[in-house]
Amino acid sequence: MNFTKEFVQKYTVFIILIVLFVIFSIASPTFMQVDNLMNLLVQSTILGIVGFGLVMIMIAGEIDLAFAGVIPFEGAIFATLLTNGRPFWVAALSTLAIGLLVSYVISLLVTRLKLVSFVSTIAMMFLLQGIWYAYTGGKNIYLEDYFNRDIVFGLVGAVPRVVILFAVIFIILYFLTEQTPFGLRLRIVGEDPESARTMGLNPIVYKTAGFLIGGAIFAIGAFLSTARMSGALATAGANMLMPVMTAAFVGQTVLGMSRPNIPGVLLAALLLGMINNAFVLLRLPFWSVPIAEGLILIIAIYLTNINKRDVVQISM
Amino acid sequence: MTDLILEMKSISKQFPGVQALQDVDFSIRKGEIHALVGQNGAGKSTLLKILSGVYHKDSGKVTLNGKELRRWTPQQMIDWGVSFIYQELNLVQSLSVAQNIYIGREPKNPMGLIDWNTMRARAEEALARIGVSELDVNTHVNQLTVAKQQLVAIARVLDMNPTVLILDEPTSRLGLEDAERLFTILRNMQEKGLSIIYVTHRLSNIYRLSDRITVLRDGKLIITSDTDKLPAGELVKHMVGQEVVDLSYGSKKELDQMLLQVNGLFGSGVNGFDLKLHASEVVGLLGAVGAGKTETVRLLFGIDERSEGVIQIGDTVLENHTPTRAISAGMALCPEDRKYQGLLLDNSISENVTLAGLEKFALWALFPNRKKEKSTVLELVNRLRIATPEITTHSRSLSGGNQQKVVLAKWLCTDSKVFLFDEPTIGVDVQGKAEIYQLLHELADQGAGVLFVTSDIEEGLQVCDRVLVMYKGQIVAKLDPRESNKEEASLYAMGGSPDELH
Amino acid sequence: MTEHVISAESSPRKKLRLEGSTLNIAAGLLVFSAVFVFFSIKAPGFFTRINLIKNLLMPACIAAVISLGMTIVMNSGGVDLSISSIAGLAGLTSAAVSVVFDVGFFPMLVAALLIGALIGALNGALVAYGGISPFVVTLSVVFLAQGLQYLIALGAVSGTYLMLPREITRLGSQPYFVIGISALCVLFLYILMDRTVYGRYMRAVGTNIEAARFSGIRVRFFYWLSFVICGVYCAVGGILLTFSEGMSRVGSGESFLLDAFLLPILGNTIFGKFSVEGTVFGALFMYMIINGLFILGTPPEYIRIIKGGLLLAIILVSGIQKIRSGDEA
Repeated sequence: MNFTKEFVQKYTVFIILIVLFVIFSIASPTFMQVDNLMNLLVQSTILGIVGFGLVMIMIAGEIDLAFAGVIPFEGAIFATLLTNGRPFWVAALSTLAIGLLVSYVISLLVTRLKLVSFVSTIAMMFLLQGIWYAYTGGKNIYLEDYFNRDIVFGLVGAVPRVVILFAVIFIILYFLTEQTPFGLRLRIVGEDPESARTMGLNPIVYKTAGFLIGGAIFAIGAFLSTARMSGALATAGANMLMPVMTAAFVGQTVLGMSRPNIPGVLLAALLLGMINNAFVLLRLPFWSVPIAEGLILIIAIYLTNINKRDVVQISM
Repeated sequence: MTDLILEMKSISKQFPGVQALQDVDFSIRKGEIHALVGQNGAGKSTLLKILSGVYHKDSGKVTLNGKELRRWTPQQMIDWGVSFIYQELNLVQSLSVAQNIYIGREPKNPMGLIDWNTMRARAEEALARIGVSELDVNTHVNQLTVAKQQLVAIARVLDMNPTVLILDEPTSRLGLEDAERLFTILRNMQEKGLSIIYVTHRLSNIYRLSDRITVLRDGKLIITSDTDKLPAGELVKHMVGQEVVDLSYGSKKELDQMLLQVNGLFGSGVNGFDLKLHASEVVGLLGAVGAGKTETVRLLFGIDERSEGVIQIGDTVLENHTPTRAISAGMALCPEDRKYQGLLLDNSISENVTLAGLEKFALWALFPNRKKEKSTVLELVNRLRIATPEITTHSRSLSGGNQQKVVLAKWLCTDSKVFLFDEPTIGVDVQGKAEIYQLLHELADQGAGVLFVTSDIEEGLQVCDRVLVMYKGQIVAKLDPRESNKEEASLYAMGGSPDELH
Repeated sequence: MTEHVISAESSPRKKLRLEGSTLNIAAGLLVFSAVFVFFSIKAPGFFTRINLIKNLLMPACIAAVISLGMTIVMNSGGVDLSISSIAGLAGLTSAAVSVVFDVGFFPMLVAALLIGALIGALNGALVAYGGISPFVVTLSVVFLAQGLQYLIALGAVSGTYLMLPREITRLGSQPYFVIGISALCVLFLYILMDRTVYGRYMRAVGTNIEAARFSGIRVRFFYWLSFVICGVYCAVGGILLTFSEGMSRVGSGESFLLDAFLLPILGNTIFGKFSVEGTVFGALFMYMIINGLFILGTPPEYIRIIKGGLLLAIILVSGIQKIRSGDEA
């Protein structure tokens, strides 16, 4: 009896995922079609990739909310450079460079000045949103034919290229975080910095690495987001904040691990993508989606009792 | 001695206002177990911190394997083969046994990924080497008992083949069987040539394990001797010194009405505690670190949950109570960690003093009457002689002794009858200590019952009317300070018995 | 041993002690006055009644009320990401109630306050009694509130905009209405936090929850209470916003999230603690700068940058201050 209860608690969200999948397949005949599933995957990709970036930082024991400001800004830079005739690689590298710079600054604030990552990255987010707004005037920047969307969203066989990219990134990060010494040490630094120090690990080095890797992944996310919409949209950042955080937090618990992890985020992103997908297919009321997402978040965290581990410290 | 692994000669270390170590010699031979013994504040931890590299010595010479060392970092000392296992163990709780043993030295396969199979196999070997075979290396450390966790910590350290191992009070949280097992492991390692420095307060540990004993007192080396040449009675005498205890504070009392009655208290770290505390008396709870004193106090105040036991204060029986209940029943606690548990450091003295009894100053129990507050606080500050220019100063800026007085003042604003003081004079200067003792006795004279917890035997005998000595979570002696002495009390605190004194 | 006596006459109020926080407050007031004077001289139309009241005070008031909610939660050691959602939801609810049931001012008010209190109570229960991180709890509530907003809007008018009856709008655009209610809110909260036992307890919970517990304070209850009060204040802010705009839509109030972080933290840095006076000061200061710069021709896009940059700068300053005073957690 005890075993079952614990098992259920640990895997609740996973069970919900399966159950919903079954329900949706039954409720809508179009759900299971290859086209739709591919579409679902594509929708989840950007969310998932940005989620990977956030989770890398969470594994290191910090949090980064600035991505909601960095990503639209990077998208704007990327789109502007392209529409001004710069070659693709210049635009791509510049985007990456900006992302890394912002991440590096944040890591300095957190590791050297010992600022709390929660508040500093919120401030950074607002600041970057402001800079973006000033730069673009709040308008969208369209790519039109400066960029061939097919490079990213074209098909290889039946699979869109971006899904392959998603899979590749997932595999790389999975091995990095779960199977390498670096990943193990990053985790230790995040969970127990004191013991880490006693064991000879330098938290500053690892946290900085976490932020930089996260920043690089955010840049990829910005690129994909711009590519998908064929332009840097005004809503790119704000729309991303809540879903990505939800994916990261729910991802902690999906596979019963009670800690930030990459495979969990993958599943959580798919779960959220699936809900959005089904909403369209089943013509569910508009308001049910955010409510469902909120409920899942709260259930996931509460039932798996990871509330004790507070990733985010509020103290100023 | 050519088989000296480590030699520390004439080590001195001074901190502002206190000479922590003066000309201390300490050495350890190959394959010996050497007990380092002394009361709190004797200098043991300072000596070890200098050895580990956390502190720098002021003067003296340190030689390791024949080479003199000038300056080193903690990591270097570990690399040179000198390893420490502290009471906190420093394991990563959410990781498995195998992972903990190999953090920083993870076995890799050609692609750079962790080779989990090798890690597991080697971890099993590491455990087998210390005679532990029943542990599944995949278990997460947080699912293990403290005893097993300690074994994991030891396996990790020993797997790195140190030449010297330092253990700080390793059996304080172990039961008999686990302690036995630890001893076996240590003796095995000793045979293989490992030298061990063992810090402890327990006579049984000293006499069963060690080859030599070094006693420190007040920062000085008192004696280094072969264990079999130093009987327990003499050992204790060296530890406590010859000075007579000044018994000016406590006195033999006629027992008045009973304020606090505790029967059969069991809980984490407490294995059967009884107490009858009467009005107007100061009862001391003595014992070494890890004896269970603070754990008892926490159970009494309701911070931790007890597994068994009856606590009655006055006419009220406290059932599974919280601190709020305990306080309203008339209990007060000056906690061990006065800065972070007793005070709001960034608040003014005034705010701290009125915190627990605020409703008494308030109109309709809602609006504090600031004038009344201020005058009461001023009166208390004067009465307790808290040295501060203003009552609006943040309590952070006060000295240890004055901070303690603020905590006491807080309880004087409530209707407390039973006062629990946990190590109130730690970090307080001589003058402050005297003032605190005086205040305690004033409280008693006014009818309160005081439980005074301390690991300083001399202080306990000096201040209290009667004294209970704790060891391993139980009371092992009830003494009258006027008829007992430091040696007897220390002996009990270390787990010894009276016949060992002679 | 000398007799140490301090008497009632050596009152600190009579001496100007240059202790850390007093210096900060003095500096803050000085900068405030300087900026005010600057704008009065350089920005045409700044120092007019209509500008000061309509363009400075009114937005500052709404922002202040919502930020006061966040202030009390931060004061107790928590955080509430859902404040702008609560404000929006409360405003929307009051509008919906008016549209659907055709009622007047008071029922609208009650409906909104009820919603705010309920959500605050939910937040508080999950955080204080459930032990869940306030970040996660309030994040979920953002979602839930968003969904509820859609639900109500669609249910009431099958659309996303709700218009208010003209009398209400007229009342709402009266600056004295907005300022008056805000002033009442400020006063009430000030009295609560500074002059009551409850305020002291909540501050103790935020400063050092363990020491508070050891002193007998019912920490869980007071932590919960701070969330409830926050919810109510967000609801009031939402009502003020809705009434003054004459309408409510899904997503109203979102822009106040930044303010709700900025203003209490600004107040904390200057006044040394999360306080009503600090947040109010922050609101006036912030909106004065925005108003003045706007008159001087600064494009509105830069406002975000200024706010974000200011928040970052404040955090940096307080971080450096902490390092300097050798603070240890």
